[in-house]
Amino acid sequence: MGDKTILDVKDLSTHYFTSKGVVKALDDVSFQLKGGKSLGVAGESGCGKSTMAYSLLKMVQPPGRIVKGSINLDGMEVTKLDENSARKKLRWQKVSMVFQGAMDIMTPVYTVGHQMKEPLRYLMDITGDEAEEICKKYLDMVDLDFELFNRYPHELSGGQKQRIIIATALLLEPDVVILDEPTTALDVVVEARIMNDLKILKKQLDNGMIFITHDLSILAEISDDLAVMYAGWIVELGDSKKIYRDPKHPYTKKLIAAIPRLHVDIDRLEYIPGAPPELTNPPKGCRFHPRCEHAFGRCNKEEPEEHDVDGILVKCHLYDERGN
Amino acid sequence: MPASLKYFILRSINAVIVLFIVVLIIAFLYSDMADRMAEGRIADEVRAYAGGLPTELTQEQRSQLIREERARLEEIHGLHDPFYEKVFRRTWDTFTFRLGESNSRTYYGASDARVTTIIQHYLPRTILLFTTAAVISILLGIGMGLKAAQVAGTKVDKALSIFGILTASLPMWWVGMLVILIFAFSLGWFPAASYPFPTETGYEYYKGVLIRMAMPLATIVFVSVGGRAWATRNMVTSILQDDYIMAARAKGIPERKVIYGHTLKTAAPPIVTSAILSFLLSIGGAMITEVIFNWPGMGYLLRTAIFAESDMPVIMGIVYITTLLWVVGYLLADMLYGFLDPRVEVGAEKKV
Amino acid sequence: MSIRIDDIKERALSMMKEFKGQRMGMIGFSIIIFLLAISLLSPWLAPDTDGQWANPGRWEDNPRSAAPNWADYILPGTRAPHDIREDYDELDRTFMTIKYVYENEYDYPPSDITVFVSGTSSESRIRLYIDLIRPDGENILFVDESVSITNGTFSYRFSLRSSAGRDRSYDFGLNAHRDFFPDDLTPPDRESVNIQMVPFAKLNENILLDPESLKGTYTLEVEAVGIDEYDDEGTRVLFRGMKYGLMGTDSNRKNLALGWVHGAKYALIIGGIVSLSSISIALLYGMTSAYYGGWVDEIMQRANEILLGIPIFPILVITMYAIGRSIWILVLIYVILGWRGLAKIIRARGIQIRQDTYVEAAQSLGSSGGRVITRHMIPQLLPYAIAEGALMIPMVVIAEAGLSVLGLADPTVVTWGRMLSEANQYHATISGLWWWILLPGLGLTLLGFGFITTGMALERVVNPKMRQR
Ligand SMILES: Nc1ncnc2c1ncn2[C@@H]1O[C@H](COP(=O)(O)OP(=O)(O)OP(=O)(O)O)[C@@H](O)[C@H]1O
Ligand SMILES: [Mg+2]
Repeated sequence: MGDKTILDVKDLSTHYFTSKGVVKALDDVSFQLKGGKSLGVAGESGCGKSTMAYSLLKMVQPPGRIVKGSINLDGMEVTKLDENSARKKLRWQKVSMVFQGAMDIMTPVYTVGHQMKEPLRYLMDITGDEAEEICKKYLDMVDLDFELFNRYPHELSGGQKQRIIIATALLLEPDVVILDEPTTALDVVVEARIMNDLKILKKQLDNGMIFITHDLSILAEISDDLAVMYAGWIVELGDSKKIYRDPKHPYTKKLIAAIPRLHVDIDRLEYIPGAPPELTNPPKGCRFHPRCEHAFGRCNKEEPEEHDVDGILVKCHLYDERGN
Repeated sequence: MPASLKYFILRSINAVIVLFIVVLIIAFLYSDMADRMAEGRIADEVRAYAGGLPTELTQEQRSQLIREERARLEEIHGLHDPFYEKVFRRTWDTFTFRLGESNSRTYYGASDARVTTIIQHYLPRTILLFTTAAVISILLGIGMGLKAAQVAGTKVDKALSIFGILTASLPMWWVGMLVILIFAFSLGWFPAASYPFPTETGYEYYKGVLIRMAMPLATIVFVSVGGRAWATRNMVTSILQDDYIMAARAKGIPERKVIYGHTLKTAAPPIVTSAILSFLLSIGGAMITEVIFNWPGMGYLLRTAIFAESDMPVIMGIVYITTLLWVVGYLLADMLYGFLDPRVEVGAEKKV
Repeated sequence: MSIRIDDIKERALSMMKEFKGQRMGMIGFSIIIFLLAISLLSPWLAPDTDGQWANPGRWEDNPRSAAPNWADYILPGTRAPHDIREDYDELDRTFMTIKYVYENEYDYPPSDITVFVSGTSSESRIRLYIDLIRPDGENILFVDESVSITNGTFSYRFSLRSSAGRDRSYDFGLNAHRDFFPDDLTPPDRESVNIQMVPFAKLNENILLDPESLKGTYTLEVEAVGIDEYDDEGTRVLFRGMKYGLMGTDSNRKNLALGWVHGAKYALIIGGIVSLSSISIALLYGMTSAYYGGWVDEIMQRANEILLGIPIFPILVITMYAIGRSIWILVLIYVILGWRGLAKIIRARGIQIRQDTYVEAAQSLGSSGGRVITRHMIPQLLPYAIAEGALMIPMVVIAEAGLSVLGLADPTVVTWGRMLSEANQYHATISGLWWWILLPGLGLTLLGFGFITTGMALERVVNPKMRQR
């Protein structure tokens, strides 16, 4: 697929219209994904990561709605799709997703096989032995025995379930695979093994991938690009190794400092004071300013611009002068 | 599958224990009452015996003879057997359907006095009415609930919920009284009483039965369908909020398959079992509804036995058969759940 | 780490606020308050009812099968009200005649006239005449009888509904009928005629078939030949109404409104006892099971499952039949068996709470088991138990009513169920006595609706997950 941009998201805003007010879960988010590349998305809980993923599938749950922006997926405008064509043209064929909280992602009363074959059957009209062959191929890929095919979800371990879900996501060879915290429901050992598998898979396959996690350390290894989200914004976007080595945004800096490292004393572990804001009523100006050490006059008044700093896009007033 | 086999076995044991407990209660109460009845009968017989004694006997001889006769009769009736023995005997008899004979001289229209015969005469009509009503109400209720869940939050959905709550708080048989008042008394569309049953044969017979059945059937369905629909709706909406439904949709599965496949198949075990259970729970109400409509089934028989005849053996028999039906139905519901839900395990929570 | 009284108070207050936002719940709650108020006021609202329900003497002065007073507003036609005359309108001393004037302006004339005559006489016998003079000049002589005097006094009772009264009424109607149909060989027989209306009916061809009220002034005349003086106390006339009171009367003259009040009282008593006991037992059982977990939980759950399999209806029938027809037996059975379902819910919820960290924290800080249960689990579980327990009340009350209809009514108390059972026994449905069926049943419905909506609203308050529904 080369370096062709397959996913181009521009000024995307998705809001939830709840009885308590409008939750601005995603505001003016833009990024691109090139074919075969991977993008990591990191941020604290509730900053809109899953919302972004749902938006790409055109599956924002009510009372949510995409209110603005465009999602161009290999020439297809996702935001304009109606429900039926989203189902027939977009979902699973172009974009597939491994949902967060993998324990309840499989329907309890169908066998693994039944659920794996479903997208083949309903979207590609492939059934019977042919479908099983394809499933077998992907089960192999995630290191699972075909014997699991006839089991029910409750007869599987968490790790097995997660692998099956990953295999199912790869089944139709979509342009983009979204993995929304694929390992949160698992224990550390299994988590490490799955991440390892994913790294290998990524090398084998040429799908674009979006990794969503609140754990930055994983992303540095697995993703080419990195997007750091805060309160519905992407505050920093660029090459993941670069960002990891030299973060620009104060929030990213804090985030990276908060990663526990083996050789660092536990006492010195940093944490970010305060809590992320209510998205119904985000702070004026920069949404991070109430928690930011470097905040100054402009921060609580004007929304910061995006600045290109050494090839990294940063949404912060600190870089205002330097950029101009 | 060993897990589900264990489940089935444990459930069956539960059923037997329940049946045993109830039969023991029956036997306990029966033995006590039977003793009192026997005492009354013995007193009568002794009085008759005393009256028939030759007059030339001395007072002493008389009382001696009377004492002997009383002792003989008490022996026959087993009055001096230990209580636990009586209870045990009665328990065993009940278990083996030796339910005794009715006190009533009419046999309630059955061919002989045995309680089993009498119940056999009445039970089929209860089953006819009750199962017809159950099938209609369950099918209709689940259909309505499913539709409501798909339009959750709309006016139709809210109206159905209110209908469900309102009818759930109504005593079924009272609605039956109102139905008679409206459709039999005011409008005169149907006969007010189902009894006597039609005597014709063939087509006329079935027509007669249907006309008599219309009102009680409509009553049972009317009262139960709203609650059924509401319960179904709640189960389906809660499953629709589950993650795997969202995942199924993301996989591009057609909405129809999501609803009738993933959702309904997951909801089926609790829906079906709770439908059966709530119908079992309404046995009492349905039997009273029979009384209201004079539908000649078990309820009608029970009331006649209580009110007109004070017929202990028949009442005991009805209580036992009702319990048996309940226990079997309950077990069936359990088994069906185990059959429908691959997750069953012993002690697993039913998702209701 | 413990929950203080203030926290509980705060929690209760916030729940109350939340509850007030639930419209259905508020309606239901008002209904409960209404029923409660009526029950508390029952000794004043409905005196001499409870023990007197089956005593015909208590209800003697009432009309039989009278509709509620408000029936005139919702149904066509006007009904004669209940009219008791303690004093005569006129006394003619020359013939010792007393007169009662009755203005019939109703489509449904009085259901009965009952005349009590008593007086003193020095003779050994007197002759008594009672007749009704109609607006059209017709005169129906109901009584022409000689009455013996004992100890110088006599008392006499006559009713249009007595067999003599019915005879006279029928004869009057039949005569009129013959005038219109001289050749009718099979006139409607006594049983098929609406006989109570004939004395007040227009003299037309329908007098036996479908009588129509003749409006105007009627005079009831009592003449006692040979009497010295009428006794004012014992001489009175009842023009019994076709409507009566707030809820009408049953076919045995019982004032249904009075019974209703006591019905509400007993419904709350039996429902209240059962639900309170069930809540307590279920809390104790469910929490113990949830708190200890392991094999204790396992055994307790197995036992509860067996209990859950016991059908309550046959047990009620058999015990009430064999031991005694008493609401207290019903209450006892429900106290024994009523808590089982609730205990299961409580346990499930309790396990959830146990997993909440702070209970564990409290435990690790060395609180004893009992302390953890009382300080942490009860405050959280109690609202649940109450919400679910509220739903039991209508269930028990309806069960009581149903058993009454089966013939197991408690003869010592008045319940809605007993009223309905009597309605069924005396064929209220096919006689069209709708109020007798509607109003006690409405009590059951109100109670059911009240507690179910309140319980559900409470459920929503204590269980936020349900709020989305
Ligand atoms: N269905 C919904 N209705 C209303 N608000 C919602 C809904 N779903 C999400 N939100 C809100 O939108 C914001 C973003 O949620 P989102 O699930 O996208 O966060 P996230 O970054 O994925 O968090 P996490 O790491 O915990 O998964 C949150 O403030 C959340 O409360
Ligand atoms: Mg998320």
